[in-house]
Amino acid sequence: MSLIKTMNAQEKEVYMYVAEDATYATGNQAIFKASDFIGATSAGATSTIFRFYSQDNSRLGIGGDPTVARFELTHTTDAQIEIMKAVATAMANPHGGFIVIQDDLGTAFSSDGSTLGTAITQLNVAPIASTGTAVSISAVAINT
Amino acid sequence: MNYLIANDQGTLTDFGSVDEAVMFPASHVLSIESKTDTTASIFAQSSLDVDADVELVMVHDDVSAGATYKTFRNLVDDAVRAINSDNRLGYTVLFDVLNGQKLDNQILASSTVTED
Repeated sequence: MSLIKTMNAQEKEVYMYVAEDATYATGNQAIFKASDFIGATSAGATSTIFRFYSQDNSRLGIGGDPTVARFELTHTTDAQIEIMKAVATAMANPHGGFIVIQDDLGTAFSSDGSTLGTAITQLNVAPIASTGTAVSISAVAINT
Repeated sequence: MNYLIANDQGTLTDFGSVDEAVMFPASHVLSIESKTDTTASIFAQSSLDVDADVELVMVHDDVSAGATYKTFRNLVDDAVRAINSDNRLGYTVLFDVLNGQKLDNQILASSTVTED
């Protein structure tokens, strides 16, 4: 019996969760698979873009280029390399799993207007190597 | 999966433009080519346009000189070793001008990253 290999990068998948605002509006949360990762690039002094093959059939590239989904992290100035390393380490987990890259849940998830949550990330981002400056992520933008 | 990182910026505060620092899966490497007597390029699939490529230009000693004629071949060995490495961190830095990281037979000065 032959088996069809359905994942092209690793046997156990890493799922990365991002949520881009405090209201959880439609389209503002997404999960990206590590095996769909195409590449990352610096996009400004405080931002880094991570691109993935899209989850719909446009990824097949029929009739044109495949579409690309992405999330863009806003972070400490000049921390692009440290952010890339942290995401790479998360994606390379051979055991697979689920990780929150950035969740911008803030104050709007409370019926009485009080603050229930705060922005979180489960990434372990090292300080900027050349300066020792601590690195934090302040926001994420999703484009799928 | 191992991910490859390259950065051509030597000054921290110069970060700010597209394609100065890139990361891509090791499986997206397309080729390693000799471009001139003193440069070799690693090509990988671009994330910006999947029809295009990322080119990492790596400077090396002049292969037309007798004393250094093997440097391209040695640099290819370095690159293949890095691409195939199984780093527990999940990534391998091919070169990073800011932090002085490079392949053994590479010259950091004028090594560049370009994503089309």
